[in-house]
Amino acid sequence: MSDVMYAGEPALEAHGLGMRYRRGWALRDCTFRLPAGRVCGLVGPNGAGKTTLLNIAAHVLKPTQGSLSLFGEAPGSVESGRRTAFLAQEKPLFRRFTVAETLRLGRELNPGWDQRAAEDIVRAGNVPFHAKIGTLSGGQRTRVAVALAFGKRPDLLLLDEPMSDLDPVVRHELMGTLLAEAGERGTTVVMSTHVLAELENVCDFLVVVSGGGVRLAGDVDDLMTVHTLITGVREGEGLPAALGYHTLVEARTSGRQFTALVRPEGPVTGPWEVAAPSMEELLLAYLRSPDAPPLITPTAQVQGQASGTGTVAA
Amino acid sequence: MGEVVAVEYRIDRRSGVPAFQQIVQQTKQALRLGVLVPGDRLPTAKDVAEKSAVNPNTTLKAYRELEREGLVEPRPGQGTFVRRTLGRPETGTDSPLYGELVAWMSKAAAAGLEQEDVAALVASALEKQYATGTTAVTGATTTRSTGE
Amino acid sequence: MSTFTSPPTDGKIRTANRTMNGTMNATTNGPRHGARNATTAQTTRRPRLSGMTWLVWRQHRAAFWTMLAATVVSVAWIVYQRGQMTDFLDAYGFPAKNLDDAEKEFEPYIGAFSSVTTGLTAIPVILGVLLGAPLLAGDLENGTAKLIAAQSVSRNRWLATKLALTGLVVTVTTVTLSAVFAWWWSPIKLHYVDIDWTSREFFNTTGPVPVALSLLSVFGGVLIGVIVRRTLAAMVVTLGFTVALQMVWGYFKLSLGDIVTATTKPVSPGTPITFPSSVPRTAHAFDASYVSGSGKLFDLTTCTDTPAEEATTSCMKKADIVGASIDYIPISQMSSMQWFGASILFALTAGIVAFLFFWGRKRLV
Repeated sequence: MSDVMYAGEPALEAHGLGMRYRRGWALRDCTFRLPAGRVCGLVGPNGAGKTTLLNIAAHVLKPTQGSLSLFGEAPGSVESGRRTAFLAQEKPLFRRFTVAETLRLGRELNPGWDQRAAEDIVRAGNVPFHAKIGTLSGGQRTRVAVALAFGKRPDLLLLDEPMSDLDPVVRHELMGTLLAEAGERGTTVVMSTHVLAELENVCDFLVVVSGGGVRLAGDVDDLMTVHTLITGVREGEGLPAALGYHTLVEARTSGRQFTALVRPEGPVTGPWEVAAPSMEELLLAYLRSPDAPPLITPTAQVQGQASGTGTVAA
Repeated sequence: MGEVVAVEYRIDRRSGVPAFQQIVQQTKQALRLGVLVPGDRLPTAKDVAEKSAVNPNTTLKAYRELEREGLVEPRPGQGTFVRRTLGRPETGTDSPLYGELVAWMSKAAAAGLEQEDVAALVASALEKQYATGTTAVTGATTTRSTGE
Repeated sequence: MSTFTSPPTDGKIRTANRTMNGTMNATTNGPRHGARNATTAQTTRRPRLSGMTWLVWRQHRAAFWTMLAATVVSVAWIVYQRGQMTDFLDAYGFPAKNLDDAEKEFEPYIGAFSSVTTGLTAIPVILGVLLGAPLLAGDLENGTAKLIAAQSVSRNRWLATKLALTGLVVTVTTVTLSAVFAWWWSPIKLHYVDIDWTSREFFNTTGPVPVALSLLSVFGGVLIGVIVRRTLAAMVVTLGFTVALQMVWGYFKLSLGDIVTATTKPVSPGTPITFPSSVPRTAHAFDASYVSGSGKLFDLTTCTDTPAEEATTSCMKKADIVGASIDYIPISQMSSMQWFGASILFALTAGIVAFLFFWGRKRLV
């Protein structure tokens, strides 16, 4: 595992990606870059286009507009097909196969198959190898699906709501397995979720999609650094004028108090309490304010991308 | 020193304290209490990820912080090892200072102070004495994370 | 805050447990359950399928084995029935003695045919509905198509393997049944007049016809499954499709042959008309007609208005009816008609397969 959070080879790059269904646009003008080796949380409200984005990356859907590349290759190519593993939201498996047969499926269909890694993941959850998939609990089935995805030894793992139907214990345990495996191999992980608590301590990269577009993208550390949570006393209507100098993401008032999440454009001075937001506060602020200016940090920017769409001040 | 001992980190997701700081704090606490002594190996990032579902990069970042403070050293291919301890005779539970503190606590209890009252008193005394705040124990501070 | 653990011991114990579990799995559960052991055990037992072929076989093995087992049972039954029949024929003195005279005695053996032919003619419908329709619709409905798409194999290979393996099993099954059934029928084919060779019971169950009808029904069902993407709905639509196919086929099959016309030598009008005698006994005959001096055809109901013989004769005379003709298709054309029809069905099947590759492939997730 690399010790340095370098912004090297991109694992995934989206250029003006758009997807339109009969009922309208699910994703529009989506542009960002995910450096290799990151554990990326793909966040957004239901129907924001998270699944669409992952399905395009997994070559399940073809985008209406723009393009997406995985390690510089198109999603359909042999190379990217070999390097990418995808775990769809419904975690499809053959119900009549045994666990051992499911792993054999992975072995038969993937040249770089790692039987031991897959078996270890299954064993870590005490899932019997001879049990039929249809008889397993939701957590066990997810574990087998994760084992199948990891056994492929992917360089990029795409997970669509991986933990959505699991109880907290299994969720914690599986997330641990996932992070350990990914960390050991340097696998890039993209994990979509709408449960923000799932991401804390897990992701080191965030992509927020909302209203079809990218609202926020970048390394968690960078994103946290450039945001400040300000709490103070209201002066008349609205926010203190002095705050107008900074980029405002979200402001809320209650009684005499106001709380504002800003991207400071300089030192924040005033009779206010200044704190760093938690990841959840940051995400909630962006999800609640679709009109806030989007922020894409330099590491998350595609080469040649207009830096006007939000650059880091620091 | 041949014996290798590890701590197990307890990461509290709800505390609002970044996991990286929790790891740093808990390691220091273990060093202070003598739970960790020089030569001990810290759990690998993979171990921490497996047990606590923490991103391995976070653990490595915490270890780098500890390394920068000279507390641990990475040995390539073997892991991260404790270099020196934070423990001093005065920090043990058998030190006279500890005895004085216990005595003071019982006085406070006799005076009818609740646990919260005592904690508040201790906190403000701490604040006064160590006002420069070299170590931020709680809360994420903006000054700290800009470093890297 | 921190708890004490010693990882080397902990780690060792865990590793030891793992290996112990591994060996215990292997020994207690036998070679069937350990993934790696299963491989070796199967290599020794029988030629081992691999890759996509293994997957497709494993996924549909219940259907495939059922088909093959049903074929074996049917073949055994037909062999037994044919033995019974030839025993009777030998005892009866066939072919020296005409079978027409056997009547009642031979009836049970003809009855045996009809019970088997009922099953055989239903095969294309059954295979289309139970094998073809769910073949891909099941994967699309359960999302397992996505699972396959996430592996390092192309969709083309998946589709090709599915179609090839299914086509192979269908072909093996229907070719076997067709051949064995024709073999059963062959001793009496040219001697027993109560069997109409153009009937679906015999025309659709011998030669290449059952193969062609089954393949078209199955691959038609597959295509319907890809369009509908729901197993049950696909099965219902396929049932309609296969039944319609049978009807259309039944309607058109006679136009596959060349109709032969037998005409009597003209007699003078008014004399009693005889019917042509050159029509083979086993031929499929269409309507007979009267022929006038000018070669015009008259319905056989001509001059049947009056029961009086006098009037009929004069009517016939008036109409200048000098003979009679019969249109028929001889049994000798059966094979060429079957191949002609089957080649049309094969061409349609090939079209469906091509369509599945060019269009359906994009919808396979």
